[in-house]
Parts: sequence; structure tokens; C-alpha cells
Amino acid sequence: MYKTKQQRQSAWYYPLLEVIQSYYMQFLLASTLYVMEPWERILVLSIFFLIISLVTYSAFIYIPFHIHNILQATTPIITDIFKH
Amino acid sequence: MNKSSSSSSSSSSSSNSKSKFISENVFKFQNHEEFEETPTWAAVVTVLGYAILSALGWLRDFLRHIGFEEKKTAYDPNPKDFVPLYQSYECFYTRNLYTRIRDVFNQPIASVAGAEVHVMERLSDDYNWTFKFSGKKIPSINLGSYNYLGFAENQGPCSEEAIKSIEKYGLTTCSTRHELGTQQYMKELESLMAEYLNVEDCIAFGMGFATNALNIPTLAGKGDLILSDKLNHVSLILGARLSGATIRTFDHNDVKDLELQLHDAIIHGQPRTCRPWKKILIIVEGVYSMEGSLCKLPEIIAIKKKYKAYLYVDEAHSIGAIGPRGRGVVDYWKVDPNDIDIHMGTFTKSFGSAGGYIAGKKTLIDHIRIYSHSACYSSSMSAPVVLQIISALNIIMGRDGTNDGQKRIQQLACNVRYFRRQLFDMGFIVYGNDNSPVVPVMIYMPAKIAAVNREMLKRGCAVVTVGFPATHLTESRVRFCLSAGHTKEMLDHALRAMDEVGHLVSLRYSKQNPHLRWHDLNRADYDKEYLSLN
Repeated sequence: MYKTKQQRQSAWYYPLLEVIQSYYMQFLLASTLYVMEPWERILVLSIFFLIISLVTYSAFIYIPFHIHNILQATTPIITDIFKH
Repeated sequence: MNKSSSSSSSSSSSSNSKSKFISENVFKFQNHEEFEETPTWAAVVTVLGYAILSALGWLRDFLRHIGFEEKKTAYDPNPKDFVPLYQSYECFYTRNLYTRIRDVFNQPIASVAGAEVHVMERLSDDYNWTFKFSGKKIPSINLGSYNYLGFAENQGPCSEEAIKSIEKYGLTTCSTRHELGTQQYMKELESLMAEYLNVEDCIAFGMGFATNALNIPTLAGKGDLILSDKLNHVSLILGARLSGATIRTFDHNDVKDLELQLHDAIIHGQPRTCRPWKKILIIVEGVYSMEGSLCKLPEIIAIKKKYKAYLYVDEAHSIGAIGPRGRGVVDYWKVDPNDIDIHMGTFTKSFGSAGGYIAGKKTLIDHIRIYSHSACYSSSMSAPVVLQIISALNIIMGRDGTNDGQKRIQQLACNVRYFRRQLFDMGFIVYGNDNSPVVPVMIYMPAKIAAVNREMLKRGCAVVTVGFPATHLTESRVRFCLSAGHTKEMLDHALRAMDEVGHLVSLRYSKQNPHLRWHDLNRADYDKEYLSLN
């Protein structure tokens, strides 16, 4: 099942793979991960993802509560008028 | 800062009657200099990148300090009761940032550094702390040597002259200029150089850096003022500091700032005593090697005459490479050589040799002959070095009977215009004057310095990439040095490689020009321009 290079180039996913490779290279260069040793890359990426996940977690937990509070304090209470 | 002026062309012919008359269109005087501003996002990403690397560097230093990781540099054992030998923070940059991309700097070569060079391949197992040679030599186009007129070759009339001179004079005089070191060829070189520059007299030294550093102290001293450009070379700064004069800097190529500083200096005098300055010396360079910009000589000369100061022009990169007859910035701007008090230059760049010279009025040169540190203590120039310069000068001035010199100068001018125009049109940020053979292309980010160099070497081009201590922190660049020895095919290959690397690494930062690939450019226009000038 070995395909020649010519046939492989015309497979539909090769241009996509090249684009992904080029974006990966640019990401490595802009974030200076290109010059780091493998363990340093893992360390920097894990610290970065840790911070991102902490921020996302606290956003999920605390934002609905605050929005509920704000809405409750500012909208007029229509139900009370209907009761009387 | 965009200036473009085209005045009438200049036609030139060497003194030999057999030379061809050069067509009118060859050296249309177009002086366009541009320094596009750094895009903000690039500056931000660069600084963040350095911040991440610094934080990582602190972590690595801590690990080395507690002993978790092995210390690979020489370190001070810091015994008790002794003052520490090094400030470890000075070496922080070297240990943590420079070493990561060290394989890209100081690459050894294995052939003559002409238009093509063989770069020795180095491999490293432990992330650039130690290197091993694999034995392979990579043939590549040399875009890093200051070989502007292509005289760095091991065959041809110049090298034959140099070999004959060894047979005649030996290698060294074993003496200084003041003792028995003034050989016959030194007198010939000095008179030839004085004629080339159209001044009264000239003196030559063995080392270009030392020419600046050791001769400025003879010209200025305590009680004098030196006004030097912010981006001057280290040799000029060292010479100025060694002299003991007061040093003030003015913004790069900014004539208004220079005038303001001169004005203030003359009104207020010396710092505490308010006495008038004994003399004021303005130091500028012809072509600045990191920016590719030319100095604005006519305006500086006008100011100098108005305020009665002295002017020192360092033409290290411009002599031989700039101007329709190759006589440097003086020729380019068509000013009177007698207006500049001290002409200085080096033989390392355009003449393919080593050494430096100072030229000017005979009284000045006589003073330097006696009082210079270099003439008194360093040994005089070696015979093959001097004969190489003399034969190169004879070729450039046309005295050997051929048209070779003028052809080289024209070839360099064509190459420069061709290369610069295409890089500019592709969307790269290229600094400097359109006529300077030094072409800096901006990279900005620290990781890209290594990437560009390695990728260009893979594609057969040896380039020089420069980063932090030599340039500003956020402004790292790749600097191409063009040569008259480069043919059109070599330049095309280099441009194609740069186009690919620019796409891979994303170097197209320009906001003024659209980002084009090499095959998008209209080849016919550039080819037509190149061939018409040739």
C-alpha cells in the first residue's frame, strides 16, 4: 500500500497538514518555545494552561451568581404590584 | 523621514584613456532613506518573549544554584573573605539566552570567504554547551562578509602581487613605525591613498579598530568636546573615552539635534568652569553598519562651518562601495574633501585586506605620525597585506589598464538596487538608504533569530543575524552584505530562499507595502532594470 510521493501530494489533506505545520512553527517562534528544551516546553505550557483553567473555573462558578444578584437589585418587582 | 531627490546623473571615467564611456543612466542620484516603524504587536510579542525567557532563566539559575542541575560555565567559588570576582547578573544573558541559540553565531568556515563560502557543520548533544564537528562542509552563498568589491579571492592579480611581495620583503619588519618599520611600500600606499581621496597626506595603520581607538586621543583631550552620533561604532566610543574629552551624543542622523547641542555647548562652555571649549570635534560615520543609513554630509558640513567645529568622518563601510567612482560618501554627496578635517577609513571591507588609514591635511598627518599610540607602539603593516591594498587600489583607479575597477563598482551598485528593491516589494521591513550595500531586514523576535539563520543555511545562504547587545532589545535583524562578486543567479537564489524563509517564519511585517511572494512579483521589470544598468 505504499503510495508514491506524487500520489501522496495530491491527497486532500496534505495542503491542510502543511498549513497546520506552518501555524505550529509560527506559534513556537512567537512564544519562544522554539528555543526551549522539551521539559521546559512542558513546564511553560502547563503553567499557562493552569492559569487559563483557574480563570475559566472561577468564571463558571461565580459569574451566574453575580448576574442573578444584579438583576434582582435593579429590575422593578412586578409580582408585588399584581398581588395587591 | 522619506526623502527622494533625483538630480542629474554623473558620468565618470577613470584616468586611463582606454576606459569605456559609461552611459548617462547608470548612476541616477536617488537618495531615499527609510526606517519603517516597528509594528506595535511585534514589539509587545518580543518583550513578552524576553520576559518568558528571563523567568525561565531565573528558574534554571536557581536549579543550578541548589545543585539539582550541573553548572556548565566557569563559576566563581566565592571563598570566604574574598570580594566576588564576577557580578553573576552580567552573565545572565550569556548563560540563559545567548547559549540557547549559540550555534548560530561564530560559525567557523573552511574556505576563502569570497562570494561563496564553505561553512563547517557543528552538532551539539547538550543544547549548545559543547560542539562537535561532523566534518561536513556546507557550500553556501556568502551574504555576511564585508566583501563589497569582491577582492577577497585567492586567485587573480591581487593575490599574485601579495605572493610576490612575500618573496621580496618577507612577512614582517619586526619593528614599529617610529623605529625601523617604515618600508618602501608604506610610503607608496600612503601617497596612493592620498591621491585616491584627493587630500594632501595619509597615514596607514595595521588594524582598523585600533586606528580609531588609538588616534582619537591624539586629536582630542581634556577640555575638548566630542559630539558623536548615538549609533557610532564601539571603536569610536572607545577612542573618545580614552581621550579624556567630554562626550555628548546626538540622535542618529538628526542634524537639528546636532545644531542644538553645538549651540548649547558654545553658549554654556565647559561644565563647571564655564570656560570656552578648546575645540569641538563632531564624529560621524559614512555608512552605519547596523542600520544601512548614510550620514547627511552636506548639512553637517554647513553646520560645522557655521559654528567652527571640526569633523571626523569614519568611512569604514563606505570607502570603495559608495559613490560613482568608489571614493566614499565624499564622492556620493559631491562635497569638497578639504571641508572634512579628518577622513578615516579601513582597508578591511572594500579592499579585501586589513588595516586602517587617516587622511587629511599634511600638518594634521605629521602631528599624528609623531603623537599616535599606534605608530609608536604597534608593529607596522605586513608586506602581503599592503601589496594587496596597493593592487586593489590600482585596479579601482584603473591604473592597471583594464576597466575592471569601474565594472566592479557598477556591479555592486546594480546588485544593491536589485536586491533591495525586491526585498522591499515583498513586504519585508528593510532599513537604510537605497544605495547602501548593507541591507538589514528586521526580525524582532528572539526565537526567530535562530530560525532564520538555520533555515537560510539549509537553503544554502550563509547570513548574519544579530540580536540584543549589538542592537536594541526589540530590534533584532538579519543583515545582508552584498558584494560585486555576487552574480544575478546567486542573488535570485538568495531572494527565493529569503522568500521561503519569510513565509515559514512570518517575517513580512511591513504596513506600507503589500505582502507578496517572490513568484507574485513582476520579474520582467526587475530583470529589465538590472540588465539596462549593466
